[in-house]
Amino acid sequence: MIIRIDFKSETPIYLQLSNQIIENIANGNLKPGEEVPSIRSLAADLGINMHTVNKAYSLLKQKGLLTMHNSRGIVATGSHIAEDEKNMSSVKKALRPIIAESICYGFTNIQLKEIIDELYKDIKGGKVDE
Amino acid sequence: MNNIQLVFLAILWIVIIFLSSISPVLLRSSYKFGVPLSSDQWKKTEISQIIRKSIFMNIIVGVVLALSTFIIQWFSPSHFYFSAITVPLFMTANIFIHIRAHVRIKRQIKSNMADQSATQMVAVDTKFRRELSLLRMWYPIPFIMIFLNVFFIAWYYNDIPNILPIHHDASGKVDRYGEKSVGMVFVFNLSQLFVTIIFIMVQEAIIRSKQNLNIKFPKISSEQNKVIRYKQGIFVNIISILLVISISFIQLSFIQVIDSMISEMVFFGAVLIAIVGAVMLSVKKQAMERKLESNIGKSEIVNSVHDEHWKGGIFYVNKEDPAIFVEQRSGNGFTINLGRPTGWFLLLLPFIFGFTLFLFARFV
Repeated sequence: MIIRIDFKSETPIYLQLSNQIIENIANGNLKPGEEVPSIRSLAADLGINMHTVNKAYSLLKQKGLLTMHNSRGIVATGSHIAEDEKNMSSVKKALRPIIAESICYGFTNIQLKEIIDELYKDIKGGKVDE
Repeated sequence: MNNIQLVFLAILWIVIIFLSSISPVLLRSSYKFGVPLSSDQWKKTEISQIIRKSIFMNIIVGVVLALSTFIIQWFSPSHFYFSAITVPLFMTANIFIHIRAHVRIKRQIKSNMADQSATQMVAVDTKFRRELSLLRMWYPIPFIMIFLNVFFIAWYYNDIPNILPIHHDASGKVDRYGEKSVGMVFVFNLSQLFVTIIFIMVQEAIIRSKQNLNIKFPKISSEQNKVIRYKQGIFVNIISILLVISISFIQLSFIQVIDSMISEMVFFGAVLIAIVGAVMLSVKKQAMERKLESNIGKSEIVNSVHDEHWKGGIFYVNKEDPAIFVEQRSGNGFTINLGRPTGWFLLLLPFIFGFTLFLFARFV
């Protein structure tokens, strides 16, 4: 798994980090049960404060995408149920303002669905967002 | 001072002046005097002028110091090696020249304003250390050797002569003797232990220091860095074992088991292998970097990430960063994060070791 952090980006570092880990789980680069690097070593590689990495990992643990494993540290969570009420509501909640914004720009329902299809394919195929 | 020693000193000086002059510009293709620059930028006349002047200044200072050392050495009746003072003096001057060039190049870039566009990105391969950590399997070897060595010497301790030579004059004749003591005999093994610990530190630096991947082609550059580091690691392990062996030989000659000629030959052999190996590895690293550049096209991205933490382009000081070891920007090795107390401790460690050895040999 390659992680890229842009220090000049508007997006905070912990979000860049968590977004990329999510994408890597989504495209299968980070398999369920596979461990992510330790907080210290990732922070050292990126040259950032350990709190920042910790923040990203806690966010993902909260979302249920990462879990603590007794012997292997922090690992990607095994299986998810799409119908899980909590997951469903969190996805809806995250999408809502984005869809609202798109409607403001004048996107139609069909256009939006096309965008979603395209992004879904990109992410699944492991295409990196430049 | 005889002729052979003079020739040896001359070669030493030439090598030091040469390496210190080229390393800030040649060893890392994307940095000049520790400033991240694209080739368009450093070929600009103002900047290339600063670079040329600084190299020239370094050579002049070096040559002047070298010549004055030789003159003093030639006319002085003492056997003191004056290079022991002038070489560190030259190194210090070299650092000042480096910082001066660094600051001036930076100012030049700032005044041109062209490079507000420099990216500040880091790419990290999360599996970078999977194979590299295998290098740690070498660690027990020198310890086992030291243990066997201590065991062997302790077994024959009573057979060691009671009066031992402890000082030689410049021509190699013994001019002082001392009475046998545990400290005097086993100080060699303690120094083996310290050498091993320092080499483990170097090894850890190779394994742990920042990946420094090309942000456009992280996968390729990760593979390549891994290969280079693995080779460096094996090299460091071999040198560490060779040094332990040569210290054993020196100990054997000290307790009059073998002739000192043999131990000297083993020691210089080890040093020679170390120097040749280091040069070869450095050349190999350059070649691989060039090859990567020609394969993926020279990347014109200027990556100024963590720039504000590189003081003078030489010292890395970053309190936030938990990393202790980082790859040098100017030169071909590793440096220590001086923003961390552990970094300072590691820097002092060789001195602590040296002092301990002195006390041990003297008073135990």
